[in-house]
Amino acid sequence: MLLRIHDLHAEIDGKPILRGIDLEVGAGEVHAVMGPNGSGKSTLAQLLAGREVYTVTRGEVTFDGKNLLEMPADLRAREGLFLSFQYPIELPGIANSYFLKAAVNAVRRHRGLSELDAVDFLVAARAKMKLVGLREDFLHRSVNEGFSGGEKKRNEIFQMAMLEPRLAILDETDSGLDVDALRTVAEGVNSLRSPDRAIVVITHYQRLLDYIVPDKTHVLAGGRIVRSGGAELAREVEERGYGWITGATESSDGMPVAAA
Amino acid sequence: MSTTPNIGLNLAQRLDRASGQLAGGHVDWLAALRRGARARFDEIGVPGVRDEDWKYTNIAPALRDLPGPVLADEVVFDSARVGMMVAALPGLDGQSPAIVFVDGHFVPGLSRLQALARGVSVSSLRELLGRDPGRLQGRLGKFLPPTAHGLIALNSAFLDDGAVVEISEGIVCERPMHLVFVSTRRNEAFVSQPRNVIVAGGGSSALVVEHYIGEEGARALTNTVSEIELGRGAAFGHVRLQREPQSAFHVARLQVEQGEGSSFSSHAFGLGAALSRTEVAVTLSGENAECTLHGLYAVHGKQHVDHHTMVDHAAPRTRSNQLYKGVLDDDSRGVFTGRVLVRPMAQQIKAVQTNPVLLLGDGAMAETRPQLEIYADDVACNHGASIGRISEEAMFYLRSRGIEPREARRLMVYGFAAEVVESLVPEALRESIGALIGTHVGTLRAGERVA
Repeated sequence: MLLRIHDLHAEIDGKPILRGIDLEVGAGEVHAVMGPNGSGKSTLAQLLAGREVYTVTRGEVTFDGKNLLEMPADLRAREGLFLSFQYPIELPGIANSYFLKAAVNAVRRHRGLSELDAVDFLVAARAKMKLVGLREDFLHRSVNEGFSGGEKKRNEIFQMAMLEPRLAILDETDSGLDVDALRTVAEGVNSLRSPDRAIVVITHYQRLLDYIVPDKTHVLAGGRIVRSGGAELAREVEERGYGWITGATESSDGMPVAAA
Repeated sequence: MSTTPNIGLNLAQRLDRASGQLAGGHVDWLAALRRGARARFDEIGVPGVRDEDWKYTNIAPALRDLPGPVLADEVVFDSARVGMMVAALPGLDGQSPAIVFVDGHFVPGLSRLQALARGVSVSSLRELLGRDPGRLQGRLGKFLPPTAHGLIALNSAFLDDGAVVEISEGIVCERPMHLVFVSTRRNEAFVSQPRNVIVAGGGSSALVVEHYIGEEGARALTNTVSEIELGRGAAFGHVRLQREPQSAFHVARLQVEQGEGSSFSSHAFGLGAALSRTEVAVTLSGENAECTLHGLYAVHGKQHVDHHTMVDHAAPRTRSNQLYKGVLDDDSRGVFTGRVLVRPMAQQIKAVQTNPVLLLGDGAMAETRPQLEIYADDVACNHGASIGRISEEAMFYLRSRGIEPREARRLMVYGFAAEVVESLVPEALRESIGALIGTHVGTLRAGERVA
């Protein structure tokens, strides 16, 4: 199992957000994690990527058998974990090409591969940019600075394509995208599906899952996975909303009541 | 009583040992200029922290134990070694003209003055004063305000060598001209007071880069003054790369006088020295003149860096734009004072000033002082300053891509500083200075404290 999450509890500033997550994702699989606002989806994504503002109070996470929670964020990335940000950060003054080359070479060094020189990098970057419909001049612009919402998301998938992760977590990659951009981004993601790579798609809406069809779907509510199923579960959520799953087990303040 | 007059007196007396050897000693107007400056210095002495303009920068300790200047016949250095230091300077390719001074004295063997374009001359001040002093009469000190502080008077009182750059009307220089000042003497402290004069004729276009470097351990006090006069419609760029060793002190004044429709661009990089004070004073004398003043200071340890600008809008429809950025690591101190004066008859003025500072070290401190004096009414004037730290969110983004904390931090600091570098032209100079800044911010120690 590539990713194994067991009984994960986490909080921020003393406020519990994750309340016992269990999830297993195998190589080659695509999982969708859905849930209403405030259910803990983004917390789960950021925590897995190593954001230090969250405190794990219980449980464990292994990545390819290694204790993920012990690793700093940059080591997780070098080990092959990738997070596509819901709100990609703007980095004024840092050229996209410079940033990405530093990232690619950090990952390559860790994998025992030779570093890419400027030419090899450019050749690889050009090919991958086509995949998500980004023009080459994006390489010379500052990371995400002045990019439209759609450009930022394409840039995330472009980075993913360059870094070739073993596990990619896409946090609300569909938010802020029009239909064309959504299709392009989804095609980019689909082209990266492979038997040794796992993808976790975190989303509020089902529409991205029309393009990236998951093997398994999970519904997160109140910091717990309350239901799991196949691709059809996503469609059910789309038709019926979250209430039929979460309503019965959730009080008005979003806290789960005793499920027993 | 303040102790500064005594320090000044002792300093002047030590400098007197060079009096007999100063350039152009036989020239009456020059002797009078020096005497006047000396009298002025004896009267006001060295600026002290009681002067409002020097409130945050105490120069007195730097002056206390200085034996004096290195005399021309005392200059001893390893020519091959200094040659290598010069060859490694950013932007100085094999084609660019360069004039090199070691411990205050012109070194023809290390200079490259044959690469000059037609209509351009670069000479040693000392040589020119010996050969053709009349060319400088009325030029030296022409635009320095009589009320300027004591160290400027001290430079004038003992002016001896430096670079004289003359660009004829309408001449366009493609290559930057490099003025290089190297401090090498390590066995005893010394004073070096380069005086540079640049005259850019009407409609000319040129770029001068002043480099200040030295051997680690060289105990130099550099007290330099550069005067620039821009003719009508001239376009001129000035770059100062202050990278003196941590054992050195650096005081610099750039005095610029701009004619009608001229444009001036300055980049002042303050990276080295234990303590430095860098002043840029621009008088926009002609209508439609404009200046852009950029600065970047990036220091660590106990370094103290003080940048001081003065822009005098003395004519209508003049524009100024200032961007000074600071990066302060460890226990360093950074001071920025930006004075903008708009005179009563100077209408339709635009003046902008910004001073963002990035604090890296827990003990670092920044002072920022905008000083706006506006006596006209049709004026658009803006100033802003900010003091911040590296964003945790941005660090996480970089690290989530596999970049190690140290490199992530270096990238963040470089990204902050890059805005100052990006406005440099030509591209070759921008790239080599960009690489220098990239390396320099990597040496700031904040990177090591992460993780």
